[in-house]
Amino acid sequence: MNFRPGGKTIILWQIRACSAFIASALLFFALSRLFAPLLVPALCLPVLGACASFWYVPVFLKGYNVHVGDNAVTVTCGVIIRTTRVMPYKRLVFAVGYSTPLARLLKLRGIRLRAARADLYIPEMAEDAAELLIFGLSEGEKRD
Amino acid sequence: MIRRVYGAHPAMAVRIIKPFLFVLILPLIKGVLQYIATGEATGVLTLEIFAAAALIFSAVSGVRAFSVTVDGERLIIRRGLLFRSVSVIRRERLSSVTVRRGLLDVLTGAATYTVNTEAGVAGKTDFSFKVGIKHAEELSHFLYGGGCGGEIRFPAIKTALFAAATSSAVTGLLVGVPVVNNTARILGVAINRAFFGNINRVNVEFGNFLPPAVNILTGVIITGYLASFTTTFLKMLRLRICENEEKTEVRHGFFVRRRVIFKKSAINDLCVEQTPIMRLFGVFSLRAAVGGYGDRRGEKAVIVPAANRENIERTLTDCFGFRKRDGIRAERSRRIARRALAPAVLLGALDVAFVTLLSFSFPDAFELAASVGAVIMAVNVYYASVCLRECRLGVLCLGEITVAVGRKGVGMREMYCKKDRIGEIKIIRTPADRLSGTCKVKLTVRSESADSVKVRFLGYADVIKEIEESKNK
Repeated sequence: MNFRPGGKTIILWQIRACSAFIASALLFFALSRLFAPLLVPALCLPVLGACASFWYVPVFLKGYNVHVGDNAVTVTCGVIIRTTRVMPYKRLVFAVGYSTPLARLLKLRGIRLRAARADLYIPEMAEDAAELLIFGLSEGEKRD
Repeated sequence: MIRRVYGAHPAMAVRIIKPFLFVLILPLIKGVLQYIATGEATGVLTLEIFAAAALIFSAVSGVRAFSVTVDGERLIIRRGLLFRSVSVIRRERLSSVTVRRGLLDVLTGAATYTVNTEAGVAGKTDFSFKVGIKHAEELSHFLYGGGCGGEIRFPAIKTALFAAATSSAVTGLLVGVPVVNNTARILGVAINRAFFGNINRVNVEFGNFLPPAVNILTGVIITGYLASFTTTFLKMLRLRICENEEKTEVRHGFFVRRRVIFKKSAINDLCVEQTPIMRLFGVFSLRAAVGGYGDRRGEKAVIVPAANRENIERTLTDCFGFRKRDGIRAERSRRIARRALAPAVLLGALDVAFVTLLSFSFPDAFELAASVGAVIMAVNVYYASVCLRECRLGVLCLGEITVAVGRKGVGMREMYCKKDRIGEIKIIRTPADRLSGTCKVKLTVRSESADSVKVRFLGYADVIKEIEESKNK
């Protein structure tokens, strides 16, 4: 079974990235009144924010793949460097579903899989799919 | 299928707002700054009311939003109103649960409940919340079944002995304080001799300064060791252990009462230890390393604080099924004994050289050098005896149940663990080992704060054979 972040997840992360960059730019802009050179980062940040929101986030999330196999969960992600992380069910201790007000507005929920000395984050996905995944992972029959 | 939902106890509100209480100071700071800048402070009370209201709202909503659900084989913990999280844990994945009752909990009828697994950060608990005491008992019953078998109680004297031996209290009081006092006295004599009649003012200054400084230092050491002893003693007082085939339950504490339940399958290893003070009384302590144990996610669970060899072995066999078997013993020969004593002899020689050099360089400080040298030599002699003991008692046995006996600092440690819990077997061969056909084996357990034992002077060929055999078992 494969899970991929949907369009709503991309929108959520675009909103987050935009907000973070705009807030930082405003802060630098306010501080530039006290120290003029800070105007440079204040002007650069919106450009970086635009790149992050409209290029990096969509590419990153579209390339994100969660594979729930018979023995392990495999997460493949990355834009420039692709990384694959495998967590066997044997090592999985528990699963946590988390949601912020904005994510709930879009009916999304993130998942964090916890193993001894390792965590695996799965970005927000549709609430139903997340519920299915969390409870599915904790089912006994999926374990070795 | 059993399904029960437990809400949080209202006392948890205090726990939720505790880290955010600093918010109440912010309006005051704003008022002070405003007063300094403009000469008047306005709106402080309004801001204070808003901050208090926000805190109360977050506390109440936090309590309302929290729930623990036992759903068959799963434990579901829901938290947060704005930032929600749902944790789903299979019962078999729990390492330990702790019920802790402080004075505030006793007064409010609540209990602090801690659920730990093997995941997460060491020293930080996975889930901690407050529930009513009845709910806490019910929850423990659902998670770990009914009551245990027979209960073992440990008298206060054994707990005191354990506290004294493990907190170094007696070592500090018996050894540290006299040594500090005596050294300071002799230092005073040496300074008197060295400067008498030459720099009279410096001499007087030292004479005035030294005795109070020594008294303060002695007082600090005594207070520190007594505090350490008292804390450990009160924490371990009223120790009761009960166990059955599946689980072990440990209760202890005088003011703050703790009750920890863990599955035997969560045990990584068992260690029998003997500190120098315990050796004096001929007793041992037994502790278990349980992944994610207790209310601060440590790993150490004291099973027997102080008991003789026979009782410890009976507990190991009857309660945990660990039996000491014959394995590879450390080589016994004059050559090995000489090698074992080599570090102690080297330290002794360095000590003598140091004392001689100091005495010749500063004849007035001879007594001081001799005193310090004697203390170092006494410690060295004890170290030598431990090294010899290590030669005599060192054992390695690999198999379904792995046993390793070796020296750990100036004490001895016996480690018992199941084959699948071993993280690493490291064979170390120094040039001296290669010459005498021996090796050191370091056995490390697969756990978050792994226990390890190094067994020295084992025959290399025997170790390789034992490893090969254990692979086939």
